[in-house]
Amino acid sequence: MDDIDALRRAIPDCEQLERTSPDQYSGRARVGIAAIKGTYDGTVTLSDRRELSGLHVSVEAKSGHARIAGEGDITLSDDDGGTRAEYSGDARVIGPLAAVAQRLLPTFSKAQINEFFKRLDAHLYADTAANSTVENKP
Amino acid sequence: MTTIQQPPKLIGEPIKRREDPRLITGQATYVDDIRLHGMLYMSLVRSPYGHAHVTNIDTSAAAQAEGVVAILTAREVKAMSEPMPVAAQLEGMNLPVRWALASDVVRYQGEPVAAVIADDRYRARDAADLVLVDYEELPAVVDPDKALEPGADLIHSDFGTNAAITIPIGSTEDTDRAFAEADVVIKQRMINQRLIPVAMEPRGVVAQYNAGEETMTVWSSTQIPHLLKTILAACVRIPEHHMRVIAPEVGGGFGSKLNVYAEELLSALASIQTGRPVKWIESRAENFLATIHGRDLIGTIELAAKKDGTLIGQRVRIIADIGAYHQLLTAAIPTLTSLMLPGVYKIPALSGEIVEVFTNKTPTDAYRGAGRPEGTYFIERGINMLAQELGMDQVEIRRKNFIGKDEFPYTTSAGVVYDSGDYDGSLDKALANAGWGAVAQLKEEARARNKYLGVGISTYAEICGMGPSAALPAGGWESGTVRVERSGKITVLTGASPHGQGEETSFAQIAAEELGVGIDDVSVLHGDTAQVPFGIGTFGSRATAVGGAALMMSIVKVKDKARRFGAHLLEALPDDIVYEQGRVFVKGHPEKGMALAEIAAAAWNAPNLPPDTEPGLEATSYFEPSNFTYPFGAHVAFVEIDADTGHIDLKRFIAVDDCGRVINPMLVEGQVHGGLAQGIGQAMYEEAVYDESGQLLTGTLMDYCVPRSDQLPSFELDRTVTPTPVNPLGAKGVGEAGTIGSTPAIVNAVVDALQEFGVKHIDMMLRPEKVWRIINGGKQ
Repeated sequence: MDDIDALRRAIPDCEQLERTSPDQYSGRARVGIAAIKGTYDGTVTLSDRRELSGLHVSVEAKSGHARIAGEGDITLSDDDGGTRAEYSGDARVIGPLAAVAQRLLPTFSKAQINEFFKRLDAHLYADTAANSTVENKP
Repeated sequence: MTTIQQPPKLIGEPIKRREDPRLITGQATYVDDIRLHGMLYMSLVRSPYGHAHVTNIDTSAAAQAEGVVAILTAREVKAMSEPMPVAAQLEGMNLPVRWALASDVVRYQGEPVAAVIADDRYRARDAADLVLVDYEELPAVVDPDKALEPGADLIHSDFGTNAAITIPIGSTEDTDRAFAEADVVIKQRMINQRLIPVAMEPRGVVAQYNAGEETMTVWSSTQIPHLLKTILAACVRIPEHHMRVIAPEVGGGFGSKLNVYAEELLSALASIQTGRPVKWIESRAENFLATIHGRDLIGTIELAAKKDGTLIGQRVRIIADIGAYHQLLTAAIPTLTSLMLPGVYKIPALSGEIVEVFTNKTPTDAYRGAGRPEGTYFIERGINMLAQELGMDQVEIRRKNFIGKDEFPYTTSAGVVYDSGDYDGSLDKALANAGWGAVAQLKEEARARNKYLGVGISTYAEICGMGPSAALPAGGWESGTVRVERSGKITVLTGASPHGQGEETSFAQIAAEELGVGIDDVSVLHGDTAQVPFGIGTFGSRATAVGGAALMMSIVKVKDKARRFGAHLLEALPDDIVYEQGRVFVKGHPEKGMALAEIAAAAWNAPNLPPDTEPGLEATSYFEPSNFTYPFGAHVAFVEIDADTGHIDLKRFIAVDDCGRVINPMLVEGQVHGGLAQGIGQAMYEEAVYDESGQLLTGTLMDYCVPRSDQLPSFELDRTVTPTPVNPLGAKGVGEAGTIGSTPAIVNAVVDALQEFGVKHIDMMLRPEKVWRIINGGKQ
């Protein structure tokens, strides 16, 4: 979470990412949900950092179609020699997108998060070429 | 001897709509088809929140975007215009002042906060995204019950309450006595859910301010061009005689265009400010949020009856969720519900109240049926519940309580006078058409296939032909002009502004038959305030009953004048002259006559006028009805429920509607078809859903289910004819009947199908999931 380069690669369709303080990033991503594509400007704030065991993430993003506010926790644990990352969270969508994509959103967010971990994984293990799996645990 | 050819009979005939060729070949002109030189386009910035403080609006980036000509915010709106108009101002109601653009607080998702005007529609839309609005979200109030609780967050803090008004109904004392004397009482809370009108053509406006003439022309997709002219002129400070409104082709309204909207003010203001014509066309997504919604009532209904099923009292409490503001007629719509509560029954005592409540939602207003479907639903569900409670048949209990054929005019406990009716007659016909005797056997057969068959009846009356002027905020009369042109061709002008009802056909039928000319010799014009004398508009199933009556008055005047000319030119006494089949002649001597065209030429060329007679052959009349009309009917629904999935299959729908005298049965059937689709839609498919923060979750046609043809059976229609004495045509109106009778018939049928599960009531909409849970022993 402190490696901006890794994050840039891991966030799907990330167009821009800057670190504005030790606990805050701001950036831009182009996201398409259903037929609605938009460029979202947002900030990610990290808090409640627990060394090697997890942290709290708050996201706020805005586009012409929607404002998205999300809160989530990532918990890390040892898992048979590897690291297990578990996440949970909640997001609110405000604006026209809410009417269109409410039903699609849970599936969409899951896919995005899986993609994030997949890319992160690929980045982390690029050197070692170790096997890794991304398992979806809602 | 001249033989006079009998002209074809027109009134009562299924003449094909004369409007259709241009509509189905793409040659009609809707607002969006209007292109003017130098035209600009407006796009609105709307609140994404249900409830929020607007702390800042930064238009600087948008102002610099390519093509942007002007930007309006509340500051300009307040300087240039009056607040949004509200016609239905009930005594004692809380009436918030509202401007066309919100300034400090937004109170529903979609409320406009800024308008961007650019030289291209897409540039305007893109620039609207560049307007930066800072919001501080406030707690939203979306549940009308909670909105009324003490300590609830307030939507309009000035009033200290979220109640807009509380309206008492009837006499508490009589009703309490009836309930004390009752053998049986039922009580049920019923939800009449929020609906979205979804007219095929969303709204649209073109406003053109002519600075040289200081005049304004507005094209709007509206049901009420004349009222819009008066109201809009006052709102944007243009003298009324400098304002012209044109309703071109209007692609459906269902009441949602019986209004004056912010976008009409804003387009006009933008045109004044820029000196150029400005167009605004509503997107479908905007239409879901920015155009009024309908229904949204919670009724708690109680019925008191004797053991034999005789109704003796009715008590109601109605919570009407009216959304964030009053629109043009918002507050008046639930009052129509209260007038309709007794339905077609003799119920001596009625009392209760209506509480209209503000919430953080789109304002409600008239939607097809407007108040009557709700009242009808409450009584028609109520009477079936009572039948169930008493172990009576749903037919028998109705017959027991019907207002008798000979009891009209009948004053109901709601205080209105029903004009005419034959409720047994329409029910007889509906039951015969339904094959009522075979129902028990059909139910058994269905059971063998693991299906539950249910039949539901609804017998309704409604309030149409709106109406006496005293009962409406801006007059209830209508105008009709008949002009016999020099050539003998007929131009009819109507102040009603048809938008799909087909009066260009039906009014031509009336004029052609009465004047004895061919229908192709008659044209019907409407919708342009510079062309047509002042009128009220098309809503409340009034165009034929009131506008058609005005037309008839003018026809009579024109024929009288033609006779006067005939007497003068044929040198006969006026009393000896008859007008028949397009000719005036001396009684008994049709060969010594003049055709209407000859009379018209004499009247307009005027070389030889009868004494005390003005030139010309034209008459304008204003018909003021003495009462509403009360159409009625009986609907029967057959549903079959799949035990495994809860899926409701609407097998048959039988409707017998009585709208008085019928001018064109094909148009009547068309109206009934459309009404049934929307009424069945409410029962089975449609529901506007908001989340707890005031976000509309059903904001697209993917999420809000307007029924499609494969979700509806082939309707089995029939009618009885009971003319009204209220107008000279005897026509009652039929625009809304389908939405009024059908909804309770469906719910009654589903409850009937689920008898063995002890179901007394199910709230709409009837999702298969709800039904499945009942069948599987769960709660609703």
